[in-house]
Amino acid sequence: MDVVGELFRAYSTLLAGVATSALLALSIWVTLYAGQLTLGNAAFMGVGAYVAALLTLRAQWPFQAALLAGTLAAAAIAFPLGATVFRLRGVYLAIATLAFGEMVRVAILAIPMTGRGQGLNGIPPKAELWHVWLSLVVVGYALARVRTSTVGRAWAAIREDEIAAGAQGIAVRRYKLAAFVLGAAIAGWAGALDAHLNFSIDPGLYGFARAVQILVFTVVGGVPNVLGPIFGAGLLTALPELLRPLKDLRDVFQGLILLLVIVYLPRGLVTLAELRRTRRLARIGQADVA
Amino acid sequence: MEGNVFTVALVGILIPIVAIVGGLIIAGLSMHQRARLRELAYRERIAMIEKGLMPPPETDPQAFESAAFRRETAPVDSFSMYRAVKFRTAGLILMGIGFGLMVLITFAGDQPGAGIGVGGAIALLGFAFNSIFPQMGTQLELRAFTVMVVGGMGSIPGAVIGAYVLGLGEVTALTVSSELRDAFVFGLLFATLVLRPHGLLGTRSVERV
Repeated sequence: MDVVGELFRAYSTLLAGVATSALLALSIWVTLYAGQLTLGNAAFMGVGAYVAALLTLRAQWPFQAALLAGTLAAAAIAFPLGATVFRLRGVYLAIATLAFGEMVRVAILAIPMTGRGQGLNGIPPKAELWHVWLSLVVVGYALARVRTSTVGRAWAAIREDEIAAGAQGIAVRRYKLAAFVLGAAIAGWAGALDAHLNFSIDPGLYGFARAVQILVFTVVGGVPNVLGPIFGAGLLTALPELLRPLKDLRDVFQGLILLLVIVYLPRGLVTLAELRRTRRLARIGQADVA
Repeated sequence: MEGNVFTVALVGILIPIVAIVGGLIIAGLSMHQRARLRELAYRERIAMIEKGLMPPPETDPQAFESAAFRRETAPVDSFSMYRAVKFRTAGLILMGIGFGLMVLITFAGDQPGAGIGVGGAIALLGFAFNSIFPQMGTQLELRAFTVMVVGGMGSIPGAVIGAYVLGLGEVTALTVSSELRDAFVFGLLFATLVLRPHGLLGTRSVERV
């Protein structure tokens, strides 16, 4: 018996969870990088999961086709939604996308085909661990390349100042919509994979709590680059396991860690190296003003 | 039944206290830190100007809300000073007003108010339904959001009107179908944001460069 293989099998659920969380965190990173706070990713994940699961479960579609269909369904819903909702900014945009997420949940509860509150059970377990990790690597690499491309720089310009970006000739609405649809597609993909990993889904999985959780992954990890959301998701998914010895105090400690990161590293864990620069700025500032 | 009422009343007092203390600590910590970082950024800009250098263009979105700023140019009492913090950080620092401290003081005044309000509302709810549980706030969270948006952010009469619109509408929707209830809440929220983003009584914010 090899110990490594044993360990791997024992923790395969956790490993898969880390990768899907990281994919979801990357999906919200796209819009955050463009400076837009949207909270619809949990709903897009749900759309992807339900479409893919219904296709494999009821229509006996092959797994690959169902995955693709789930992803496209999420993107297809995101397109008209983004076109309507991107007239809004800031908190209003966040609330509107949140309302959309809740509407998706209510719709799933109301349509009989989705199994309503009981959800879907016995989804064929077609997804494997390497599928999720491969997706994460591919999506992470692709986004890292996009970040440094023309598109990525346009997103950064929109984030820093929308009006100035528009004046520079960047099609602000179009780039925002592109970020939104891309994020929705990634979330849909992650949802479809997740449904085929866990065999069972229900509407409660894709509600407000999940939306906030995805946002927290990315905010804790940091938006400046692609590694941030992956670190954040990995840390926050694995943390409950690492803190297991603390027993009942586990949630308290997890909350405390979150709080400290957000207060002292407001731009995320990946900006740890910049802390010293902030201190230096503090000294310069005091010397010059006093 | 005596004991039950007593317990609920006790919890009704305990919740505001916990909310006040916890809110103070968390808000104080985070606001002070954020204010400090922002103050640093402005100090750096001021230092650059004093050295005769051109600071990079301002990227703080709140600095662009100058339509609102024009109404707030004369900080006289502490509250308008607080609003001045929001609109003109650099000016405030130049006038010698401690930015971080100001924000901290405002939050110290703010959080107990919210704590008492929320605690009181929860205690009343506990009396009304004869039960309390840790998650009882979550169903109300999004409804409170909706009320605020429908009424118009920053408008107190708007909040009251929004609450009536939402509550009566929700009950009406409930007579048709139980699933329509949630659908109504979020449909209303979404429709308001798309059709009338400033709400019923809120003021339309004008964007200026």
